[in-house]
Amino acid sequence: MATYLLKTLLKALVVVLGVSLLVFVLTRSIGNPVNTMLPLGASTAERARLTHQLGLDKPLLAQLGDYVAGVAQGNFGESWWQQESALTVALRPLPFTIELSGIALVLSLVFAIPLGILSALKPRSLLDKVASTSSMLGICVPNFWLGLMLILIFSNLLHWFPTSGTGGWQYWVLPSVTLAVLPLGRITQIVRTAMLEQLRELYIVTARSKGLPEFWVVTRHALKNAGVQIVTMSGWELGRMIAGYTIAIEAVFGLPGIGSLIVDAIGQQDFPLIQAITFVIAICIVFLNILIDLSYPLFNPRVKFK
Amino acid sequence: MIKAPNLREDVSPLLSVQDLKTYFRKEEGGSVKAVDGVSLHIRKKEILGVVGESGSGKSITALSILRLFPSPPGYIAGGDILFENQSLLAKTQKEMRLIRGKDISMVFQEPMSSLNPAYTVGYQIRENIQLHQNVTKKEALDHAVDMLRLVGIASPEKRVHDYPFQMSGGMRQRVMVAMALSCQPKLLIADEPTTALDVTIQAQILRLILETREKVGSAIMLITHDLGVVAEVCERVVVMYSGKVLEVAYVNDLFNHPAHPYTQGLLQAIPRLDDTRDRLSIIPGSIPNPANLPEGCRFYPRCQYAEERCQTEQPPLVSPKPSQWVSCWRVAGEKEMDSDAIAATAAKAPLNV
Ligand SMILES: Nc1ncnc2c1ncn2[C@@H]1O[C@H](COP(=O)(O)OP(=O)(O)OP(=O)(O)O)[C@@H](O)[C@H]1O
Ligand SMILES: [Mg+2]
Repeated sequence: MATYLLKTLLKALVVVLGVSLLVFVLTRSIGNPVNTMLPLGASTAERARLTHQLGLDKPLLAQLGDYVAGVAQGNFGESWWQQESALTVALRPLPFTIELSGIALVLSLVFAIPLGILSALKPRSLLDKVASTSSMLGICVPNFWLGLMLILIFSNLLHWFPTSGTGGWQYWVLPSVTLAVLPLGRITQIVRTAMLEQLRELYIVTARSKGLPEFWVVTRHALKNAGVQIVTMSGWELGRMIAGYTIAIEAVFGLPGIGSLIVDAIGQQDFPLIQAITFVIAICIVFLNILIDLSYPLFNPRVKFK
Repeated sequence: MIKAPNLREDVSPLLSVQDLKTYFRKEEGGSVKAVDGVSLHIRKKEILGVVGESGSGKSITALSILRLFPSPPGYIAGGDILFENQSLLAKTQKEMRLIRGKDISMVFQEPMSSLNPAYTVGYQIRENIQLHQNVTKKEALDHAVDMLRLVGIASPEKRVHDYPFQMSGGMRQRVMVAMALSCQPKLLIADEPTTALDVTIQAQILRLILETREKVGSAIMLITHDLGVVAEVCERVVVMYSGKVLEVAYVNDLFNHPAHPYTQGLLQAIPRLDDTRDRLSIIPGSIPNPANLPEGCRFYPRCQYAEERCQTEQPPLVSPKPSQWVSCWRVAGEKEMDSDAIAATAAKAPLNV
C-alpha cells in the first residue's frame, strides 16, 4: 500500500508537471497579452514597460524557470486580469463546479444503473431498444441546445424554474439535468454491457441454483462484479465535467463555473491564471483517479496495491 | 399400533422425468432439440449415472430439472418433471426457489467459474443456508465452517474467509459440494463434477461426494463422460444420445449385456489394461447436429446394424427385461410388439423400475 501511494504520487507529479509545461508552451503561442492589456494607441515605451513588468522580455527558458520555481512554492503569480493571486481566482469557482458535476453524476447514476440493468436483463426487448436509442440521443445531442430547449419549455413557457443564475434548489434543476444527459447515456451503455457480460457467467447460474431471488442475483452477484467498470466510467465522466465540460452549460445558464473562468482567462490572455486553472484541474483529476483506484477492492478482492 | 408400511412411498421415485422436451428457439426460425423426449427416474438415496457424448443433452436435462436453462431462447416443449409426485413445471418461480438449493441442488463442471469471485466462500455458503433455514448470520457461518470441514478442507475456520481466487480448482469444487449439500438436499445433481480437475483430484472429489452423501442422505444424479466412474459408484445408469435416452439399466447388466449398439460401442471404447489391440475401437462418425436431426433413430447413421426402418421411424423405449429399457428396433422388433403395446410400455417407462 505504501509503495502504491508513493508510485501514484510520483506518477501524479509527472502528470501535473507535464500538463503545466504543455500549458506554459501553449499560452506563449496564443499571442502577445500586451496587445490585449493596453489600449489601442499605446506608445512603444508603454508596451516595453508592460512587457518587462510581466517578465515577457526574458528568454522563454528563463520564464519557464521562474514559473516552475513559483509553482514549487505554490505561487502562481498575480492574475494580470483580476489583480490578485491567480490560484485564489482559479479556486473560487471550484466548489460550484464540483457541486454541479456531483449532482449531475448522481442524477445520471440514479437513472443509468436501473436502466442499464433492465436493458441487460431483457436484451433486445422494447425497453432495451428505447433505452439504447435514448442514450445514443443523450450522447449525441449538443448540450447547449438541450439547455436552451429546457429553458424555453420549463422557464419561459411553464415558469417552473428560473432561466439562469444561482440561488435555491430551483436554480440547480435545469443545469444539472442538462449536464446529466450525456453521462446518463454513456453510463447506461456501460452498465448494460458490463451486466450482460456478468449475467453470462456461470456463477450466476450457481446463485440461481441456490434459490436466490432474481433481484439478489442481479444486484448482489452480477452488479458487484460489474462495479469496477461502472465506477471507472463514472469517475471519468465526473473528471470531464470538472475539467470544463460544463462550459456550454455555464454560458447558457449564466453560471460562475470553472468553464467560463477558463474562457475568460484565455480571452484576457492571462497567462498566470490559465496556468493556475489547469494546475487545479490536473490536481482534481489525479485525485479523482486515486479515489477510483482505491475503490476497486470493494468490487474485486483480487486487486492489490503494489 | 403397527403402521402398515407405505408401499407406494417406497416404490414411487424421488424424481421422475417424463418424456421431457427442452428446445432452444433459433433466431432464424425453428428449434434446436437439445432434449427430445427424455424419460428417467431417480429413487431416494440412489446414485444414478447419466452418460453420453458431448452434446447429448445431459446438462440441459439437469438444468431443466431446476428450470435454470437459458430462457429465452430455451423452452420446455413437452413432458413433465415430477419431484416427490409434484410437477416442477407447474410450480411458480417462487415455489421453485424454495426447492432450489434446499431439496435439489447442483454442482457444475467448471469449479473455476462457478463461484462468485467477489465474495468469500463463507459468504456464498452462508447465503444458501440463510435462504432456506431460519438461522442467524453467525449460526449460518458456523454451519458453513462445519460443511467445509466435512468436505475435507483443512483449517476451515480460516478458509471460510478466503475468496475463490485464493483456492485451487479442487478446493473450489469442494466448496461447491459443501454449498450444494449444506441444506441436506434430497437430490444432488452433479454435472461432470470432476471433468475439469486433475486426475488425482478427480478421484478425491468423487469419493468426497459419495462420503458426504452418506452423511447427508441425498440421492445423486451423476452426469459423466466416464464409464469407469459409473462402474465404480452408480447403481443404475442412463445412456443418452442426441437428446434421447437410448438405454437404462443396472450397472452390472449394462456392462455385461449392453443391449443398444451405441452402448456396446461405448463399452468397447473404454481402454482396458489387458488390451493388446493397437487401437481402441471407437464408434465411427459423430453425434448429429441438434439443429439437423435424422428422422428415424438418432443413432442410425453410425449404427452397424442399421436397417431401413431405423432410417424413418424412431424406436420406442421398451423393456426387454425387468429394470432394463432400450430404444432400438433390434430389441423392439424382436419382441414383435404391436404399436399399441409399445405405446403402453413406453408410457410406463419412467415409473417402472
Ligand atoms: N443456449 C443454447 N442455445 C442453443 N442451443 C443450446 C444451448 N445450450 C445447449 N444447446 C444445445 O443443446 C445440446 C445439448 O447440450 P448439453 O450442454 O446438454 O450437452 P451435454 O450432454 O451436457 O454435453 P457435454 O458433455 O459437452 O457437457 C447441444 O448440442 C447444444 O447444441
Ligand atoms: Mg454438459
